[in-house]
Amino acid sequence: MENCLNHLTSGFTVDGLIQQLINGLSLGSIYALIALGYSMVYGVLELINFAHGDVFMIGTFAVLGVVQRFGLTDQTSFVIVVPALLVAMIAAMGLCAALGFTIEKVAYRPLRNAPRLAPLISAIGVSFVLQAWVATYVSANYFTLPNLIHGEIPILPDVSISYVQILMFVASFAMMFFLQLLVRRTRLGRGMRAVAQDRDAAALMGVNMDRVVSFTFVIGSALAGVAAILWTLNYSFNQTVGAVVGLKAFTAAVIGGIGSIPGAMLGGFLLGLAEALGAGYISSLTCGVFNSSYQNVFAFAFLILMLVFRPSGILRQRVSDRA
Amino acid sequence: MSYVPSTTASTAALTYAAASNALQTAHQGAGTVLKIGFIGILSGQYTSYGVDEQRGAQLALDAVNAAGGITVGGTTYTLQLDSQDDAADPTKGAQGATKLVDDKVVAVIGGTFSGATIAESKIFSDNGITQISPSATNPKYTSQGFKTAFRVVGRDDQQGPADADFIVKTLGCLNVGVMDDKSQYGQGLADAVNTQVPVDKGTVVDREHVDTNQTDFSAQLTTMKGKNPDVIFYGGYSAQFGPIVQQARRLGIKATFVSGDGSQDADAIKLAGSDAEGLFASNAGPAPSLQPGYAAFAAAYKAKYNADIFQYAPQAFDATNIVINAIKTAGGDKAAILAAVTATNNYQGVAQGYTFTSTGDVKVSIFTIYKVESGAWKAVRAVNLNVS
Amino acid sequence: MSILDILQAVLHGPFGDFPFAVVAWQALLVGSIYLAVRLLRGRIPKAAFAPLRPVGHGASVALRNMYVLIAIGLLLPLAELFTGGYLISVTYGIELYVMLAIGLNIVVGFTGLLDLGYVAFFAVGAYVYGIFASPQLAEVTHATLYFLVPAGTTPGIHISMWVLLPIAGLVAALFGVLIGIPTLRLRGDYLAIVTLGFGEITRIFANNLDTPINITNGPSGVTSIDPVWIGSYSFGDPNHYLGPFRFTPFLNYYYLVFVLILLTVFVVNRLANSRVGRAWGAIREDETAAEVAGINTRNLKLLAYASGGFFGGLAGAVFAAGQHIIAPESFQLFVSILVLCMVVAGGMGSIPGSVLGAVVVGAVYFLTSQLQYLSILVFGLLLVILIIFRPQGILPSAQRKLELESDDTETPTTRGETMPA
Repeated sequence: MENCLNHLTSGFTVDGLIQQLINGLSLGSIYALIALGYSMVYGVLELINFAHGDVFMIGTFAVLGVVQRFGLTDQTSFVIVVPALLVAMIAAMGLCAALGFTIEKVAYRPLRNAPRLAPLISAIGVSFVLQAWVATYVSANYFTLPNLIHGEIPILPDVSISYVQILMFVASFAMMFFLQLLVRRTRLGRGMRAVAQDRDAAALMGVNMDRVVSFTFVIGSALAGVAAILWTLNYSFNQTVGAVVGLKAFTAAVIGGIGSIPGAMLGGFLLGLAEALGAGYISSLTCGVFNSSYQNVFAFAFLILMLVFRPSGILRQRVSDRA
Repeated sequence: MSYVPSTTASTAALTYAAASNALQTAHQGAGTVLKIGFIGILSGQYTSYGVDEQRGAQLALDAVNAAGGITVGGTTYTLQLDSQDDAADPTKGAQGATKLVDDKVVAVIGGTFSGATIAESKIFSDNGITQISPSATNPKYTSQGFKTAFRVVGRDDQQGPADADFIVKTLGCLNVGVMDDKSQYGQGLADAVNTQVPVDKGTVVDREHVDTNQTDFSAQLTTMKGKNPDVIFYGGYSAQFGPIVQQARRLGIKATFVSGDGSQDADAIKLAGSDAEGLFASNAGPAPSLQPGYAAFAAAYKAKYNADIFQYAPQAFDATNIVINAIKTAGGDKAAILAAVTATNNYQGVAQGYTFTSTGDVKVSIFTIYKVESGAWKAVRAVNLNVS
Repeated sequence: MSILDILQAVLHGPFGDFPFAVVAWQALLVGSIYLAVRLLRGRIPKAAFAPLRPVGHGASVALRNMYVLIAIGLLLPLAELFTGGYLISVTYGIELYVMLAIGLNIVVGFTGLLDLGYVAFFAVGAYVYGIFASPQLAEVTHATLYFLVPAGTTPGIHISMWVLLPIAGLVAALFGVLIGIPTLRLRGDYLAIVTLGFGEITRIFANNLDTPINITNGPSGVTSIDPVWIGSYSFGDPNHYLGPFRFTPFLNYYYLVFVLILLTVFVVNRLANSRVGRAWGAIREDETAAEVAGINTRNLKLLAYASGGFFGGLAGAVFAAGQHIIAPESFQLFVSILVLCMVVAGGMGSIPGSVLGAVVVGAVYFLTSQLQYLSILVFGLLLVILIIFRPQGILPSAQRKLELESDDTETPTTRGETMPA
């Protein structure tokens, strides 16, 4: 028991806690960006776009392609890195958007009136195709990018926040702001909200359902493209990254309240924090009974608790019947 | 975006087929075709390992066939490789092994990873077929009591202590953090290090686990950082080791990184990028430069496949040659081949010398510690172990 | 040239291995498939897509057909004489999937609860047998126990399959109830994601329960699992002969699972055509209406999970015995998805459909696996094409077919809009 107390105290430092919070929030901001895509599509079509994570994955490979084409390394000067990364972002967003648009047209639209399970199965099929395609024709290996953006801001002697992490926060908040504007202020945004509320009534009111749905997929996928470039700046990826990260992002969307834009953001941050703190402290909190490889359990445990106690998510009231 | 493992593998497989067909027709009049089985990972995340071994085995057969086959007691045998994919999955491994039994192979090289290899070993044992694994390192494989199971590589519980000795005694680092990927291989190796470090009077300050599909390691690394290890040992594959090193440096972790054979490959250097300098990793066998025949083998490999050896091709080449030697005395009878392989005494291969223990392990296991210097792995120290 | 070579040639196109040519060729393929879908959807008379022959929950399949199928199943292993054991090893693998598909069909097809974590039940069954019929518990219990099996010398607990089989089923059923309770209020896609989470949690726990007490042996898995015994006849012994016919371990297990499938079909068929089955159908169609009509939806949903889990557990126990080693990596999400595809491809709610779906999808999966990732690619494409052209599956149940068709006619407005052709 004394051994356990030692374990507990030696595992805990304020510096460590703050660093874990920063790590969790920066990972969470990427979850949030991907969650927005799930959330928007679910809001409009009540469909889990299982292939969304794989669209994100294609985005990471688009970034890789551009970075390799420009021949970027650790030593490449800032003057070249910034425009190259802008090109990479545009490439990733464009490719993801085109892919999202195509997937909706080919795999979901013919099934819009089929039983609910049908589009889900179709999504799983698309997900298989995208992963296997990358593994066959690009590579089945893991990749990382060089340290393109150097430097960090020290906060405490042993804690720092890197420029990449700052970029993650800024980009995700900017995207959320832009998306809110789009949904609240534009005609298509109004159409989206109308379709989300009542598909048939919206159609009767002259909303072009197909255009709204296509638009939703394009925007959501482009956001996944942004998430892709942020991801590659700090983490590794292969063809399965979309499946792994996508699942977490969907969880984030549910936690925050699916269909809600701030909800997706909130859910992303909460999940990022839960994972970082959970994996960071579970071993010392349980005296080593549980260990840090339970990291992937936290997302699901969080999800299940959330759905049991507040199925509508944090930021959205829903009748439990639809949940 | 240049490396395409599966297409490379399938084109390579076609090439083999064509080559061995040609040889078959050439020697049709002369004698009999003997099939040697190969089973290993030819698809999935770890394809590179299996393809590498398949190539090693094929090169050994090519050499025999090019010399006109093997003549024993008036019969001339040409050899043909019969490859099956186990995808590192026990179920597919058992099916593939059954296919090899159907195909009447006389001996088998493989499997690649331990889980599938253990599942396969039951079927080969049932049918009295010699199986030599070039890379299954889990102790369980040879401790099941199967007379047909052999390996030409050290076990995890031998490599782990070698790593711990290196960390504590050679590097002189007493505070060790141990991480693994919770895979059969990674955990087995890390557990062995974990046990040996206190024996060597060092301290394991933290034990962390990640997952084989994980890409963000910051939570585990931040905890690790709080415990101030001098050295972090990682049991697992380069696909995670490289990114872990990169992310650790970004978090300001200065500790030295040491890993095992799963990470001692070109991918680790590629993935860790500029942070790869100074990484250590152990691998089975003596340093290639000390081994006569290695250079010639590497050249032949390069000439045929236009690629560098990835990892276990030399072991697969040696394992195949052990079988070929057995055929030279035993002919095409699988029971006689088993007896001859069991009796293998100090066979000098391109990776090391081999004598099998009663369980099928290698009697003298040699490990070499490598270090990344100017973008390539350099051998820095050899560790010999005697298996009782 | 085998069918696999042709497939590979089609996917690679005529322009060789040059990456951009391959990409362009494949984009062309996808484009033409899409165009074909658009053109065909409107033009081909509906009759062409009608099921071969509507069938009920198995009851309306003529008995004669059943006997033919049983005869084929019993005699199929004779092929071993000509082809060797590989065919049986693959067929046995497919058989296990048939068990799983029938079990999942109860949850997804009959009751309409979308379960993406079905592999958890398979895993639970496998671990129950694996742990209590192997040396696994030797270091924890320090006991040697042989119960209803021929005594050996290995330490650990060794209990007969005939005792453990029902226990494995019941433990998996209990597990189903445990998953069911917190998810009772959820429907549709939410349920899918939660069950998926449970499936992954199960695997992660199996991978980590080697500490603090070694129960599952972690990633190394449970090894040296006992074979099934009938008296002194060991299913794991490769040297049983009947004339020229060799009863390999795979063949023994093939027949064992064959018998289990027959029992399962019998029981599930009875269930489906009972009050319980009709209540499940009511829940699937409209849960609120079912509740108002006096159906205890809570208990019936839990019963669906429990019975689905039970058959998954049975399959798992046999899987563990037949494979002699089990490890967490055998219980990936992919298995759940594969089984779901089988149920959907065969036709949800139809027992013959589940069996056929498992045979077809399983055969495609196992036989194309030499194509490596291409196999998954083709698999995904087939899935999309199948669900677009035939969402009701190959052999849909008569009842579900009616629902699907009435669905079509009820929403003419949106239909016209989405299908301009």
